[in-house]
Amino acid sequence: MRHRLKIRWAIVGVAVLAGLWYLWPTVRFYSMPTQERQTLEQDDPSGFERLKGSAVKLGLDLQGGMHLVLELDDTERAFTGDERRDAVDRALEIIRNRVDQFGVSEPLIQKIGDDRIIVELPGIQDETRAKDLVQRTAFLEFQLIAEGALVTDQIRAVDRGLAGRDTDIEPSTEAAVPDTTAGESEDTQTLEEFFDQDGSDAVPVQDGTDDGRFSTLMQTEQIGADKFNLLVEENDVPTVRVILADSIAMAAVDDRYEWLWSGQSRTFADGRTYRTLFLVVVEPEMTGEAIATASAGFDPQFVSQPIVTLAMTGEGASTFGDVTGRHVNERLGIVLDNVVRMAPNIRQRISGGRAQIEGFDSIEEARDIAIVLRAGALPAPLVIIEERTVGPSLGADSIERGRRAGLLGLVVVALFMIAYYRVSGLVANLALVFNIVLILAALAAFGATLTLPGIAGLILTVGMAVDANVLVFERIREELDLGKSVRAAIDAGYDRALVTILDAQITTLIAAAVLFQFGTGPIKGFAVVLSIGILSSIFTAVFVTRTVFETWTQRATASRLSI
Amino acid sequence: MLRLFKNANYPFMRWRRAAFAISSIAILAAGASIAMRGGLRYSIDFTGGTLIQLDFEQPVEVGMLRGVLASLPGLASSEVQRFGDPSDVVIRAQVPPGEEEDFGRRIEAQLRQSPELQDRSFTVVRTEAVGPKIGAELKGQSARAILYALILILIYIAIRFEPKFGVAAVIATVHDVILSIGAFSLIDKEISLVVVAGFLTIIGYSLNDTIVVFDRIREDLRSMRREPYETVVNTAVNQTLSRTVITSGTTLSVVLFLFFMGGGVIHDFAFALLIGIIIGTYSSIFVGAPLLVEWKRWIEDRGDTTPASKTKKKPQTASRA
Repeated sequence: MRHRLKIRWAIVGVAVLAGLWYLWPTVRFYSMPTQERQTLEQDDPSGFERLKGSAVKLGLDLQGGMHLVLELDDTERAFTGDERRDAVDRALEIIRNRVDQFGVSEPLIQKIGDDRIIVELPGIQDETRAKDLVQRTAFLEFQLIAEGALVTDQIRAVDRGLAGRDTDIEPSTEAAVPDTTAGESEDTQTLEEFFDQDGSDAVPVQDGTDDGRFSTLMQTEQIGADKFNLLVEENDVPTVRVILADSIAMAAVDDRYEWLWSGQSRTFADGRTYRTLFLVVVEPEMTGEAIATASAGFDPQFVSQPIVTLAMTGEGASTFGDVTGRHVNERLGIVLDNVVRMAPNIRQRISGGRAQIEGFDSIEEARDIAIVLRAGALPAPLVIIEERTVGPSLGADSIERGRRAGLLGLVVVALFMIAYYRVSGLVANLALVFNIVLILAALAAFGATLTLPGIAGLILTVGMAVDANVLVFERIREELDLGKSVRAAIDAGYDRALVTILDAQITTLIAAAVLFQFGTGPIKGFAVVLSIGILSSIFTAVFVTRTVFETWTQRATASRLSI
Repeated sequence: MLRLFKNANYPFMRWRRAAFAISSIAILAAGASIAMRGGLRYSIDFTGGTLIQLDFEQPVEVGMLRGVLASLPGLASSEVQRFGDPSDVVIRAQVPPGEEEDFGRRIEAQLRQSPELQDRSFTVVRTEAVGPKIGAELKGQSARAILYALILILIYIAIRFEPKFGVAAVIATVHDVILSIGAFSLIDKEISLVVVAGFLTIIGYSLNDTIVVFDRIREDLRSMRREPYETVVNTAVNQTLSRTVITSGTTLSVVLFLFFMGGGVIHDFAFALLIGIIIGTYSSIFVGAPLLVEWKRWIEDRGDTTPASKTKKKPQTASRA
């Protein structure tokens, strides 16, 4: 008997030590003042990582961050099963690569099902940037820009298409009605004026009252003898987009060409802001596959101008040389995801395979573009089908609230147990506290994540874990009522209650397992805490307390039990 | 020594018909409430849509925000709700397909520009956007999860006890889930993913309670062989009454703290548990155990009219543990 008890105490001792051992980093890490934490991170990065790694991880809902679910966009084209799987696998690799280069600590990038990808980015501050980084297709194309008469022909083709349309194109938003008379200034002119000047084979310009007409929405900016930029005032951009997407309006347009927008808009002397519209050759001269690497920096000439420098592969460099050699004095558009980033004029054949993209709002944008260009293009566009973002302040607030609610709950339950079961209640309370230590230690040891519902689960466990002790104690009381000795009552109480406890807890475990299967991040966290809580409560509330009681009944004086 | 329900001997089984009537009425009321409201109110987790949570520096009037949103293009149909603290609000909107992504940011931008909110500073602390497709999938998954949990538990209890115990326990649990859902409908609360997690927890908890009672019935059936079935069941319910009430009490008290102090997201979850614990406690006494008695009587009645009853076998002895 004494020998058996010793073994029991040894087990309890090991559990206590293991519990404290695994819990210690968590306590240390989260109780550290922010400043001290930062100092440690700078002075001893590996030690910091070790400490952080062995502390309980907090879910996105507690530390703040972004959860995205992406799906292959099959609105443009259909995928076969194999293509789909292949595309998703490649996209997964590319996104992982991008996120790694972006430098997010502990990201989670995972495939779920056949065609979905989960991306979890803890501690992200700038959601838009992060989303762009993950979702940007980064499909780079070098496309020739159509010039002069070709452009005017195509504009007329659109005009004809529009005229043949029964109903007017409605602007997609309540954008301003196209303003055709204003906007004349030194460096811009209306298309009509341009045609008049040009005079050559201009189709008579139809009267400008036709509201949705394409040409009336354009201004031109002369940039060379036979070259001009088409400018659309920012307010008219939505209308033009609608026209460009309209199949009837575009019916007469040559399908070897497509209309693409510039990335940035510019403000002219008339105080208006315009976006450039390019007519480009659909068939690209080159694609992003020619790019070996990309890096962000500042333009050596205009120091404040962020740029991305592209270095091409050997093959890419020779193709680039050929292309530029063949098209001297033409413009070559650098098109990223169907936006014309730049349209430089080719002055001479470019060898050496270097090119440069400019026109970024900030150096961060240039860096992000460089990352996506390095990591490569996604095999197909991805759409975000689910997005959840939690700010860090909300997470911290949730932890604080959970802690307060939990502590108060614990105090109330503990007081009740002492009031109702006296010394035995005290023993149960010790087991309860031990239980909480073990749950958190187990979370840390298994590298599981604590989420907000997980905290709720922990608190719920406090309420439910005493159940095992209540069952045992009520049973012991009954046995004592029957006139059994203290030792016999304790034995009978534990033995009889154990079956009940196991049966009852296993059903809860089944529910928790189903929850784990079904749930997403936060709910999985709840299921994990609930499951660990059930197992550890059986250990603490049954094994540990019984060891205490049996040790006590070893003494000869144990004739009365405070229960 | 403090002791609740010492030597309790309430005639629970005699009240069972009344309890069945109460439960039936409650279930009908739950159904009526759901029907009258034209179905359950699902959160954007299931319908798809966008939600943003704003944390204002000072308490903010929901009515004023509604006014601001109503005047903004495309946002008139959005819902504004206080969320926990007086300075926190949640705005929900159904979003045209394809625009889910940027909707949160658009709401934010438009609110920041509106003159009424110029002197109020706020931060966006949470945004959620769920596509309609994924929402519909989650709905199916949730329903399946609840169904699978019930089936697995039915199998477990049927093996550990007897099939009829399993069926009775599952009926009692389904009863709890229906009434909990009904409670959400009655006070027009949204059913979200977290609430479904709450329902699944209720399944676990309510069964826990029922099984403690069933376990005692099984034990008493062995020790009280000569007593009528109904008496044995009634005794078992009374013997476990103090435990049932104490455990429900401790669990309920921690859930109450969660409910009142846990903050917005936990609030609905805690509400589901709160309702579930109360109904689960009721059902383990008034639904689960009485169903066993009914089942037994039904078998006996049927036994009397079938040729099998002509054998001299006494019905009571048929109840093996």
